[in-house]
Amino acid sequence: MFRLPPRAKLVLALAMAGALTLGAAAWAAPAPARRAAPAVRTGLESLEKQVQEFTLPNGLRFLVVERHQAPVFSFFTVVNSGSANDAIGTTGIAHMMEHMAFKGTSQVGTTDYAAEKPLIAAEEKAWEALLSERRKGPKADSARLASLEKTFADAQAASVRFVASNEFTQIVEQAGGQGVNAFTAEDITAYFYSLPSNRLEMWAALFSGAMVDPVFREFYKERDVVYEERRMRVESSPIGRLLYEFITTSFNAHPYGFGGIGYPSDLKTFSRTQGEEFFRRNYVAKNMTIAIVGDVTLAEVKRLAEKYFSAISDAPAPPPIDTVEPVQIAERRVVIEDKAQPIVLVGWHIPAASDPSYPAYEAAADLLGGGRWSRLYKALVKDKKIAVQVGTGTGNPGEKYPNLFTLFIVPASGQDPEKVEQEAYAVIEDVLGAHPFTQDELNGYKVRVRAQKIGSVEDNVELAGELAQAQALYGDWRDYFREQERVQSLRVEDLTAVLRESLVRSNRTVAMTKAPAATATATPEGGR
Amino acid sequence: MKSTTRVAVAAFVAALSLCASLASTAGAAIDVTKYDPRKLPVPAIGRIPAVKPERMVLPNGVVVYLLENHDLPVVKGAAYFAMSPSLVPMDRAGLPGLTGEVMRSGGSVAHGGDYLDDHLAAIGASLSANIALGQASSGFRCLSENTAEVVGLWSEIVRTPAFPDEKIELAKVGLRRSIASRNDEMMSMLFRTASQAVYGSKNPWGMQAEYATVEPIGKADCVALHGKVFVPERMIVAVYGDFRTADMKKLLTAKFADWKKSATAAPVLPAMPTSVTPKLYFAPKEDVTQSGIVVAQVGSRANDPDYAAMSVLEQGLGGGFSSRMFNHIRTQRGLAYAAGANAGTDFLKPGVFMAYTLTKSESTMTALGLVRDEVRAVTESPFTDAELAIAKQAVVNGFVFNFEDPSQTLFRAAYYEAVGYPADFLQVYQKGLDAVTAQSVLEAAKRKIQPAQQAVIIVGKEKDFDRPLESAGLPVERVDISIPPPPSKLGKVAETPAALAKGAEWLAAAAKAAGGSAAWKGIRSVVLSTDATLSIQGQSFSITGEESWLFPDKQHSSQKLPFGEMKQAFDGTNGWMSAMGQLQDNPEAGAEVAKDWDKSLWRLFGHSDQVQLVALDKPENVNGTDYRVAQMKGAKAADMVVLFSADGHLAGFAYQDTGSGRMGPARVVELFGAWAPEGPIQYPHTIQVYRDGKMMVDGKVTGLKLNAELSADLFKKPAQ
Repeated sequence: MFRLPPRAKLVLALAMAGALTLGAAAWAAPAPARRAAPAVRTGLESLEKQVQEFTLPNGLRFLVVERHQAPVFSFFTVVNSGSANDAIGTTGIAHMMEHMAFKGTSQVGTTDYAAEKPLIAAEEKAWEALLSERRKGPKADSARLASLEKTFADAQAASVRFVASNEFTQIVEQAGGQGVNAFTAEDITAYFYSLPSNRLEMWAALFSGAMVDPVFREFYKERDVVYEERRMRVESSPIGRLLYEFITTSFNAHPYGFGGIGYPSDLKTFSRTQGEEFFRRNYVAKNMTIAIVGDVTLAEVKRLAEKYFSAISDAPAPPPIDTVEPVQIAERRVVIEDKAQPIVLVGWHIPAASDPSYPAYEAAADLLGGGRWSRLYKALVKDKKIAVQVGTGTGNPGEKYPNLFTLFIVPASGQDPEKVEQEAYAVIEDVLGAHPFTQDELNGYKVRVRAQKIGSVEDNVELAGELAQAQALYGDWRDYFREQERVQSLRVEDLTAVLRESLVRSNRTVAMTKAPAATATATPEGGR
Repeated sequence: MKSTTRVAVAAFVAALSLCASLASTAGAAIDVTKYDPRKLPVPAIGRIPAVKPERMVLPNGVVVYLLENHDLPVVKGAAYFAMSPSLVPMDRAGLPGLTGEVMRSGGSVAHGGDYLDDHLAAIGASLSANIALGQASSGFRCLSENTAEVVGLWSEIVRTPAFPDEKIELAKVGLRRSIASRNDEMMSMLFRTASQAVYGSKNPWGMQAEYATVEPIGKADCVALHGKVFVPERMIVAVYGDFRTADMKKLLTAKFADWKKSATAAPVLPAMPTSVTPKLYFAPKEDVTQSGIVVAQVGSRANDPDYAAMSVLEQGLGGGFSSRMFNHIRTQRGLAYAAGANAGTDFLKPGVFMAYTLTKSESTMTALGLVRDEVRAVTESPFTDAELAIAKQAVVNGFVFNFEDPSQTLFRAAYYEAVGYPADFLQVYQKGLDAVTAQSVLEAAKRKIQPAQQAVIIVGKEKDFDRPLESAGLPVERVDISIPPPPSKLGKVAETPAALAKGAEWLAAAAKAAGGSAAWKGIRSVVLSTDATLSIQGQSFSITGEESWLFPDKQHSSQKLPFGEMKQAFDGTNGWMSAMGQLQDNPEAGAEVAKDWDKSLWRLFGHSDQVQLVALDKPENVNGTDYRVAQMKGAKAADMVVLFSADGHLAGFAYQDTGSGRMGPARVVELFGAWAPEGPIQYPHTIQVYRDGKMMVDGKVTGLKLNAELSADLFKKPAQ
C-alpha cells in the first residue's frame, strides 16, 4: 500500500525511485479557462455521456460507468484528505489510516469482538501510560518505565488473542479480488481494486464496514510496519533520501513540507486514539467520492449504496488548509554527499492546480522536459550527452495547494551534477530568450494531451480513478473531460509568461546527491 | 473505543434518518456493524463474452492476429520474435538491450531517430523495440487517424533499422550510468546478487553488462543480432483497436509480405542451471537501515504439470495479503513492509523460485529464519483446508480477469504462439486449478522446492545485524560487489623481453638526462613550492602550493586557494584533511600518497630497479607532439604510460582516471617541461595537466628544497 497515484507526472523520478516516498498526485488539472475554450473533438464524447452520478443524503457521491464487456468491476474511492492534513506530533497519521482501513470491523477480522474490545482498550491505556512516563525524559523513573513497557508489551500480545489476521483482505482475495491496493498522497487517500461483478454486494458490505465501523486492531504492530516502509522508501534508498530532503526543504510552512511518510519520532509516538480522531474528522461522506466502472448497473449500485453507505458520517467535510507557503526569497540548496551516482532535483514554487495559469505550466513542463521531443532532453541527453534522463513536471508533491514545478536530472557518469544543473538553466534561458517555444511544438502538446487522455480511460480502475479524483478535488468529474479544451486555448506566450514569472533563482530549491568530498579530486594531481 | 461508540451513534442516527430521507427509496439502509459480508449470497458469475481474434499467415511466415474494437479511437500493436542468450557473445553482454533501444532511437534507414522523436510526438504516437535475453518484441500505439503512417514507420524500424553510431554511443552513455549506479539502490543489488547466485557466472541467462562488455559493441554487432532475431518467419503480430479488419490485413500485407525469409536457424535456448549452491551470499551496503533478504532456487516452466498447484502454493505462501508470509512476518510481528514469494514458473524457461522480505537491520537474521521456516513448512505439511480454500479460490475466482479487456485475449493468443504453447493452454490451466488439492500442492512443493538446496541472499549493514551471518548454518560467501573498471584503452600489450629491455633503456636514458639515478637515489625528502592556474568548469583560479614529502609515504601538502587554505596529509598510518577550518579524517589519503609515489620521478629515477616499463610500438600524440610511450607494469593508475620526448627526457605520464572521484572518468595527461638544475639533479619546472585533452592545471615550480629536515609532527593530524 502507499503506492503511487496512477497519473503521477514525475514519471522519470518515480521510475528511478522504484518506489516513491512522496506521492505526487497529479491528474487532470481543471482551471477556469482565461479565454473561451473552443469545442474540441476529444475522442471521449461518448464516454462522457456514459458517466452517471448520484449523491446519498449524507453527502457521499457515487460515479458510475457501465461497461459490460466482461463480468468484472473496479472501484476507486477518494478520501479528500491526505498527508497534507497531518499535523506536527502526528505526522504520518493520514498514511496510517490507509493501513488501518484493511484491519477489519467488528464483524470481520475478529473471532469474538466482545472479548477483543476490552483487550484493545487495555492496550491503548497501557500505551498512554507508557508514553506519558517516557515524556518525562531524563526524569522518568526507570523502574516504572520498565514496568510500563512490560505492561504495554503484554497488553499488545493479549490484544491479538481474538484477531483473525488479514481476514478483511482475505475475503476480497478469496472472492477473486485483483490489485487490492491503496495509496496516501499529499492531497488525498485512495482505495481501489477490482472484483468479479457477482461480488458487488459483498464489496459494498465489506468496504462500507471499513468506512463506518473500522476497528483499529494491531495498531502498534502496524505502526512498526509503516516504520519499515519508511526505512524502505526513505532511509535506505539514495533517491528516497534525496526526494525527502528536496520536499522538506522546499516547504517551510505548508504541511507539504512534512514529507508524507511521517517523522521517525511521530511514528514511534502517535496513538490509536489520535488515529481515531483523524479518522472521525476526515472519513466523512462529504469528504469522499466513490467511482465504479464495469459490469454493474446504476440502479443496483444505487440500491447497494443506500443500503450500506448511508451510515457513513454526514458531518461537514474538514476545512481546507489555510496556511499558504510564504514567498521564497532566496535559493535553497541541499547537497547530500553520497557514494551513489549524482541526481539533481530543482523545484520552483508555482500556484495550485485550480489557478487559471496552471495549464500553461503543464504545457511548458511537457515542452521543456516531457520526453524525447523536449528541449532539455534534446540538449542534455541527445546532443551534449551529459545526462541520461531529464524530466520536468508540475504537481509535486500535490496539486490541491501551491506546489512545485520540478526538474529532475540524472547526469551521465562522470559529469559534475552542478555543471549539468547549470546547463539545464541555460536551456531554460534559451527558451525565454533567443528560441521561444514554437507554435508547432505547442500544437504537438495539444495532440499528446488528447492521446494521453484517451489512453487513460481504457482500463476500468484507471478510469474510475480519474473520475473520482477530479470529482473529489475540483467538485466536478466533468473537469476531467474539459482539459483538452483548456489546452486548446493556450498560446506560446502564455507558456513563456509563466516560466518567466516562476522559474527564477530566488524561487527555487535545489537538491542533489554528489560524491563525498573525501573522494573528490580537490587537489590537482601531478607535479610531485 | 471512541470509534465504536461513534459508529453506534452514527448507525442509530442513520436508522432514524432512514424514515425521513430515504423513505422514498427502494434500498433500505442496514446497520453495517451487525452485518457479515461473508454471509451474503453470491450470484452466479456473469458470462464471459467470447472474443475471437482473426488469424492470418503471410506467405513469408509472418503470423498476424487481429481484433477490432471501436470503443476508443486508438490502435495498438505488438510483434514477438524468438530470441536466445546464445545469440549474444558473453563478451558483449548488454548488446540485446542496446540493440532494441537503438532500433527506436536511431530510427530506420528511411526515417532517422531524431525525425521519429519529433514526428511521433507531434501526432501523439509511440514506437518501441525491446530485446530481452529470451524474447524480442516491438510495438506501436497511435490515434486511429494515423494508423497507416505509424504502421509504416513501425515496419521500417522492425525491418531496416539504421543503427547510427551516434545513437549507439548515446545508448552506451546510458548503460555506463546504469553500471555505475548498480550498487546505489538496495533492491537492485538484492535482485542482481540473487540472480548471480542462481545462475552462477557461466550461464548465459545470468549475463550482466559490464564496462568491458559494453565498450566494444559496435554497429556490426547490432546489425548481426537484429538479422538473426527480426526475421519474418519468426514474427507473430497482434493488432488491436479502431480499424477494419480487411483494411488492416491489407496494410500489414503491404508492409511485411515482401520481407524475405532469412536463412537463419531458429535460436535454441540454453539450459538453465539445474541446482544452486546452498550458501549464504552476503553483499554489503552501508547506507541502509533495512536489509533485503531472498531465498532462491531454480524454478520450473509454466507447461510443467505442477503449474496449477504451484500457482496455488504461491498464493498461499506469499502471494497476497492473506498469505502465510504476509501474516506471519508483516502483520503479526511488524518486522517488514514487504514479504512474499514467487513460484518461479516462467513461460519460456524455468524461472527463479524466490521468497523475500525487507526488514530493519536489527532483525535481519530473525526475519531470515522466518522466511526459511515458511519455505520449509510448505514442503513438509499440507495447507489446512481453510488455507487451501482461500488460496485456491483467490486464483480460481480471479481467473475472469484474464478476460477483463478483449485485447488480453488477442495478445495472449499471439504470445502463446510465439512461445510455442498450445492455444488452449489457459483452459487446460483452469481445469488443472479445479483439480488442485492440499495434497497435490504439497506433492508439487516437494518436487519443486528443496529447502536444503537453496541460496540465501542478504544485502545490508552487517554491523547492525541481530546475529552473525554464520548463525544461519550455511557457508557464507561475501560477494565482491565492486564494479570492474572500464577496460584498458591500450589493448593487449605484448610484454616481450625486447619491449621490456627497450623500456628500461628509455628510462635509463631519461634518468641520465636528469642527473643520473645515483643523484636521485640520494634524495630522501623534498619540499616543493608551486604556483598554478586551475581551470575547472569554465572558471580559473590560482593556487599556491607547498608539498613536503618524506619518501615514500609521509606527505603533507597545503594549497592556498582564493577561498581559503586546504591541507592534507598522511603520516604513514593515518590521513587527514582540513579545509575552511574544518578538520577531518581522510581514509583515502594512504592510497592517494601511494599513487603519487607510484608515478613520481623520485621512484622512477631513484629506484628504477622497482620499475618495469614495456615499450609500445605506437607513439602517443599529445597536442600535436608524438611521444615514445612505455606502459608501466603493475601501476596503481589504470592504463598508465610514461611519455618520453625526442631529446630523451621523461616528458610526462598519461593514465585513465576511472571516475571514482567527483571529476569522473577521463584520460589524464601530465606534461613536464623546463628541465633545470636543482642541486645534483635536473628537475622539470613546468607542469601541465590535461583531462580528456582540456588543460586543467598550468603550473610552475617556484622552489625545491632537497633533503630538508621534516618533523614527524608535520604529518600528524593536529589537535582540533
